[in-house]
Amino acid sequence: MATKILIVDDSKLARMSVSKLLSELRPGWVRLEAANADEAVKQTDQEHPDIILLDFNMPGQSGLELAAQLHETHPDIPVAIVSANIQVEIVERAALAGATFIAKPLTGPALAEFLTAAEAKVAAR
Amino acid sequence: MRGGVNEFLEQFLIESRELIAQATDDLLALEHSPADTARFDSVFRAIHTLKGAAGIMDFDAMARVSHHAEDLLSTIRAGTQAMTPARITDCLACLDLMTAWLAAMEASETLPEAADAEAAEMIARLSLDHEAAPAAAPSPVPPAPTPGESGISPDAKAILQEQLELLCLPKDAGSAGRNAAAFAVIRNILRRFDPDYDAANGTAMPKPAANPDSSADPNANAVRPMRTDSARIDALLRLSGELVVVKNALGHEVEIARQGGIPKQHSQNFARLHGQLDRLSADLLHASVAARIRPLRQVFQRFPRLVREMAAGLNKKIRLETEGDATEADRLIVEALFEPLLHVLRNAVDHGIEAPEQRAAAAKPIPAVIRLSAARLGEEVVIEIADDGRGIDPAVIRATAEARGVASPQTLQAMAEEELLELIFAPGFSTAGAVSNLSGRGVGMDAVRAAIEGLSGRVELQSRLGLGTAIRFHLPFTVLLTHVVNVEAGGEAFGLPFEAVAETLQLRRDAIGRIGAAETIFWRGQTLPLTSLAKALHLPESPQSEDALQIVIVEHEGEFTALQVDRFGKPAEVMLKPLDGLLAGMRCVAGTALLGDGRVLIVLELQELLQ
Repeated sequence: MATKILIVDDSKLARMSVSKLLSELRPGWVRLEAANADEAVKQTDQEHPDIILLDFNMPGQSGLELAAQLHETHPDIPVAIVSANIQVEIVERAALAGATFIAKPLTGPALAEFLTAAEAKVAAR
Repeated sequence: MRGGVNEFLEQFLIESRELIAQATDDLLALEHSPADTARFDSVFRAIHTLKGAAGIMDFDAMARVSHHAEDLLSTIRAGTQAMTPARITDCLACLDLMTAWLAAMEASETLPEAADAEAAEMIARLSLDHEAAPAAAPSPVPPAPTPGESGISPDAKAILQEQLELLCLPKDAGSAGRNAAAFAVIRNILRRFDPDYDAANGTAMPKPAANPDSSADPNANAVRPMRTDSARIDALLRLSGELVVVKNALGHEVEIARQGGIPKQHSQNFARLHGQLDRLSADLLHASVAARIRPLRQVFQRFPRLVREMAAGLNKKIRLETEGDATEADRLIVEALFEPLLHVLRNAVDHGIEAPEQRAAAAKPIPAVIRLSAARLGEEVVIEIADDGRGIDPAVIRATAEARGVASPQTLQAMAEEELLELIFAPGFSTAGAVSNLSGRGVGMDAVRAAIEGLSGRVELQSRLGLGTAIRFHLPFTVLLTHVVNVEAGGEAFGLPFEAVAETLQLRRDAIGRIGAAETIFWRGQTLPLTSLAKALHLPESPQSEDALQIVIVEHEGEFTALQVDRFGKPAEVMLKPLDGLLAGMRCVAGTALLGDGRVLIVLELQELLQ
């Protein structure tokens, strides 16, 4: 079955850009999108994505809070937090929430690195 | 439509404009309540997201500017400096610059050429200001430059270095803009170190070109991406309208097929499928109409900024409060409201709100308040612009009306107060003692009323001397466009509902048959009664050409009738206004519509007409 990845970002432009990168890096994958935390939780429960990419900076629940919540309910899904705020504190909090930190703007190599690690984790479960 | 990169550009423009509108709104709110942390977080987030969007588009200049704006906000959040009006003006200027870039990008589909130079100037402004005025101890005299080996601060040095690099770039189309920007930056830095410094040509230097009209209304473009969107929605609406017409025609064929004796099984399937098509086309039409609904925010959000500027120009302190901007209305109304609202707000700022000294003398609060509010009341959307200004003095109106010869002194003396207030809507009426460059004279409230009535609405005015004026627009929630076929009969123009028209044709006089006293024509295997539209409406009949009678076949409840008219016009989409006043209760008339050329078109109702 094709790997499913959920992209969570309130900016459609950002989702389009991540989606384009993914279509180049992993053309066979199914890409799901959510524009906020509620939609992300709903999609996760219904569609069971294998991997999740979260924007750090969203209105309402932040990416970190959502990551922590998802880590509790779905501990086996690899989650990455994508943020332009490259601060040690945020990187640490991402790690505490069980998520990988990726710097924004997202580049091919940075995303590919996370995807490779995430694939290994998915294959091992 | 366009794919690939342009799809990204389109989304970038839409999102950036939304973010700029949001940030503008937040900044203006912060000006009045600097401690509002929700607003602060919101503007911070908007600018941060703008930075991200610029990054995605590889638009470095915009990413840098938003990064510095974010830094400025960070220092304010950290308490290093305060959110002063000057700081807000800087942030707004930064948003203006981005708005101009977006407009340029939309026009050229490439990054604006002068952006780098403009960005450098803006960054200099954001950074210099931010160290110039620490919040804790605002010093009236700018601090002396730190004495160092070079005598200038590292920041200023870095900025000057950046200008030098810009000026060294090869000469191209962007050179003029870069030179102008570098000039301004260097001048600002020199002024910073010597407040009295003034470059001789400082004001004569041309401004960078990219920002022609944005000072008047930097958010003028904010609604524009919706236009692309709405063109698509309108196409959808038109198609669903046409689908309904096809569905109706099919219904007719279904009936013929049933009578024509096709097997019962097929006939039932036919009818069932027609029923489904009927429901689906109605749903589609409904959904397309709903897609035209927009929040009034789209027009309201442009005003806080404009009122701020208008008030500043008149040295008045005014706060615009908006309420109910989530109220929705038809897109057509939302888009058409800008001008009339702007006019009423200008009047309020210019004439309604008193000068600060007058307000102080009357013990009225400063800033003055103008409230722009909207609410949905049943099938109406009510928009109110209320100010706490001086109100309208009936005596002044009376004097002005007399001076302008609007009515005779006797008539004016006899008029009640409400009637006098109504004179405000008379063409060319203006009560301002002084002509300001804001409202001027010329278009007056008559234009406002005409615009609102053109949208099938009405205008109300209430005023209390010394307490303020309120103007209310009552507008319909939906403006359904009716497709009509224009015809002329008895020398008048009429609209026939498009769905009812089956065909238009020309017939020779000798093709008309007779059954008793009635005229008939033969059409698609049926004999139809022929009615002269002029005669049915009791209008004088025009002389007809013998070989080309103009016939419209109309259908009503499955019955076809031939109507003879003088002429066909083009099909049109009109906004149908129900009859009121004198015409209310008139039979045969579905409503009236204002045509583009100002004439009123009477749209006929066939049910009554054909009986």
